[in-house]
Amino acid sequence: MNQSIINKIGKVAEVKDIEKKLNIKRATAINYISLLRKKGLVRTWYKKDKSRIYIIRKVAKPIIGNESFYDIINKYSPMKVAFRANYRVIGKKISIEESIIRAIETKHPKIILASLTIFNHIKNWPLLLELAKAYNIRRKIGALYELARRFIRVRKMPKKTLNSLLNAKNEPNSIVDNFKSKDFKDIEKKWKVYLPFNKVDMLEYEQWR
Amino acid sequence: MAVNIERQNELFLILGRELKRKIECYVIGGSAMIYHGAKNETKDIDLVFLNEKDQKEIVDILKEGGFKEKQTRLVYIKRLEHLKKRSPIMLEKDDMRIDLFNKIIICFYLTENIENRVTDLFEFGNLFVKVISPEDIILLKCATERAGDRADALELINNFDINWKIIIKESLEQTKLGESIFPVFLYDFLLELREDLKAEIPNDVLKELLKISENELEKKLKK
Repeated sequence: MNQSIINKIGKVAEVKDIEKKLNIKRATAINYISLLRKKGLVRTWYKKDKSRIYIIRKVAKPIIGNESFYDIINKYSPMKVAFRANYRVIGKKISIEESIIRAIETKHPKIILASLTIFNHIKNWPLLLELAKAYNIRRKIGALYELARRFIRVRKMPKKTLNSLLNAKNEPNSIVDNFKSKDFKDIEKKWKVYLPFNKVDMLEYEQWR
Repeated sequence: MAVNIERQNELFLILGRELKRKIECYVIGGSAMIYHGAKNETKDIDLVFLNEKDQKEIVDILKEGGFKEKQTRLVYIKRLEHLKKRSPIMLEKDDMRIDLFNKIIICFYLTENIENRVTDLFEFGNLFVKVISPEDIILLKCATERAGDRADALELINNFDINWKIIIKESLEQTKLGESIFPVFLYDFLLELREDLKAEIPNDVLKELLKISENELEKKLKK
């Protein structure tokens, strides 16, 4: 497909626009989109009525690396988070376990809240413990896990892991600076960590499910 | 003497693995164009750091890896000779050259708006590489005006949906920050691009830039 056809289609188009602009049948227009997609020149968006809009690029952007922890959160969480740029990880794959650690490291309440559901997908608890130790956030992980367990269906953490998290010493005590919970004082007391959420936040989370 | 996306990524991965802490940098020029898909290879890799500490740490790792510092030749346009001290640290090994800037790219400041317009973030271990937007690449091409910069700017104008408002606004912002009258250089650069290389630059944009340039020149003369 030559450049002049791409120019004629324009930057944003629906199938019917392509039909009109190039004076072709619907099936041919769909074929053109398919050809452009193969070249990496098309991105599809959906309108409210689920009809498709195609964003056409003149040059193909190279797709490199693997998904970021934002993508992993969005894959599993009903509450979606957005990152303003295209975020890719090169040279390694971010595990589910690392995603939750990285979410906590952002110190952003919404990202942490969205990541809670990941506890239900953790298979490698020793890895989670190892990473939590490396980032010095064992108590934070423990407190958030206990909070998640009260509202969301999550897998049971092995006792050994739970005890190791609880035994952590000399760790910072706030997940998000200057944020404390009014409703989960018991968890805060047990884990010696301030939770950035109240009941209303967790109920909002439930709303997304 | 060219670096493609694979070699560039390979180098960033080595740097990211060697780093003991997280460092952020911005990739500009030809290197950024590679990530946008507008170019297959570049002569050199241009990186901008937010502080001298980060820049030095990367320089040290590269030097340990066999890169040698090259005397900064005045490869940038002569009118900016007085800004030579802001020239990057240039490192070279075999056929690879890396230019490392610290916050200012000759006469161009890495502003918060540029940071907000970043289109891609690539994580290479502890090295976080941010790719600046096509609009900002064009502005930088105007600031450095090295050989091939015009062709690169033309490529971006032809293939991307350039938001000219961003370019005009940022040129004014740069004038506020620095000593150079950025809109004048930009007007010059874009006019040449349109006349010599037939770039599709809207008339309105050039008219607006001319008006801004005249105002800025007047202000400068009054000072």
